[in-house]
Amino acid sequence: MRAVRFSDGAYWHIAQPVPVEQFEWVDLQAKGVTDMGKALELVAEQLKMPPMPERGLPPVLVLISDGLPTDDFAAGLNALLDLPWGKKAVRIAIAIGEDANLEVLQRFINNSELKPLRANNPEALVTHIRWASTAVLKSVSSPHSEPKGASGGGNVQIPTPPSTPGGPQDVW
Amino acid sequence: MDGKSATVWHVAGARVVGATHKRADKPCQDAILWEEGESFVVLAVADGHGWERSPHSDVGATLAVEGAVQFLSNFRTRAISSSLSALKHYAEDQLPQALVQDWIKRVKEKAGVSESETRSEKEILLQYGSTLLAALVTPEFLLFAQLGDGDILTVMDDGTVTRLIPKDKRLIANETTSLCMPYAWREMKVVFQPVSAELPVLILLSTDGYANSFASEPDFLQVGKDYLELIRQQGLKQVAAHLEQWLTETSTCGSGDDIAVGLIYRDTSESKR
Repeated sequence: MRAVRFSDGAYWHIAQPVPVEQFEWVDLQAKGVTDMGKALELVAEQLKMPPMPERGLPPVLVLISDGLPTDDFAAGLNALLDLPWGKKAVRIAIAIGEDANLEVLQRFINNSELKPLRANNPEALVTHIRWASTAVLKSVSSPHSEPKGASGGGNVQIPTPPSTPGGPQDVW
Repeated sequence: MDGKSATVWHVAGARVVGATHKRADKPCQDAILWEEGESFVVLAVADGHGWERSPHSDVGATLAVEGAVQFLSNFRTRAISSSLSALKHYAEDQLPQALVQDWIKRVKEKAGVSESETRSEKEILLQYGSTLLAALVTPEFLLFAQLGDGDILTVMDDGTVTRLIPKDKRLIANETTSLCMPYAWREMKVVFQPVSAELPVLILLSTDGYANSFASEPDFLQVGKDYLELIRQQGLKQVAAHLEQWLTETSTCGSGDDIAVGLIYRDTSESKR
């Protein structure tokens, strides 16, 4: 696992890949603007071949945001989806806050069958991240082949997300 | 019988369930089969797709190797009275379609397709989808066919390793061409080599789980040379006895995918009488 943070600019927050069982989150403080497009461009750079191999398991990209980018989001998204591995990646979005812009997050997912997950409190966010880093990783980590063209270049099937705590306390 | 026809080829191979497939309690979706005839050997490996839309791909892979070995064995019998140029022409122009049609026929028989079938042929074939790699080695010619991912390596006496059919640059991630595709024969690559002065001493056919277990292309190609050295030191039988264990370790430390590997070795220490 690796992580990018974005606000005023985009940076590798956890630059070196860490096995998921050893991953430790380094806390962030919300501030500044939302350079989501730059973050996607940063990720896209790492999905080129090389450094990515030609064959392998699809990466899982999880975008956690309020869906309100302040920079050129479309340019970043295009840079990502123009890449073979960008298209092949399993893309999941977690919408933070009740007023999150789901349309932007849906464009990132680029698959009408998958909807952004909503996290309106810390417990829901933890549940979603745990699901993405366990159940989703497990489903993409089973090697298989797909006949060229049969899947429309899309993603692997991912399991159904868990229901999340929706209590009234501590709502973002 | 001249010097070339006295060449003796032997085959060994193994397949293993991938480490991740073991954990998920999935069957091995790779298949391997060979036949050592009086004056030829034929070997085939296949990799069933194993994704959710190909639930019978383990069967599809088995049908692929069974069909290829039988077809190429018959082809060898018919080839005895034909000229090399006629054989080359047939191999390059008609063999791909014949092999694919043979697989489709076997799948339909297995699936029990009847007149009242409601599933489309495309959907049925997809359920059994598989790749296919095959080699036929005779005193007069070597024939290789590949449809889908996987690798065919040849190793010369001096250890030089060559990937016989270049990797398909269109295929990234887990995409492959397949026997189940419409007009699949157009995607089959065939190499026909009349026996010349310099023959490979070792031929390796493997499903993609093997190459995907190595960090780089040079690392993978090195296995061709390593197998040759091992066979020369220990003999093919010893290598065959350990192959399953080695492949299991390779999958566990590498791709986690099923692996099938077949080796055709030119034994220069004996000749057929």
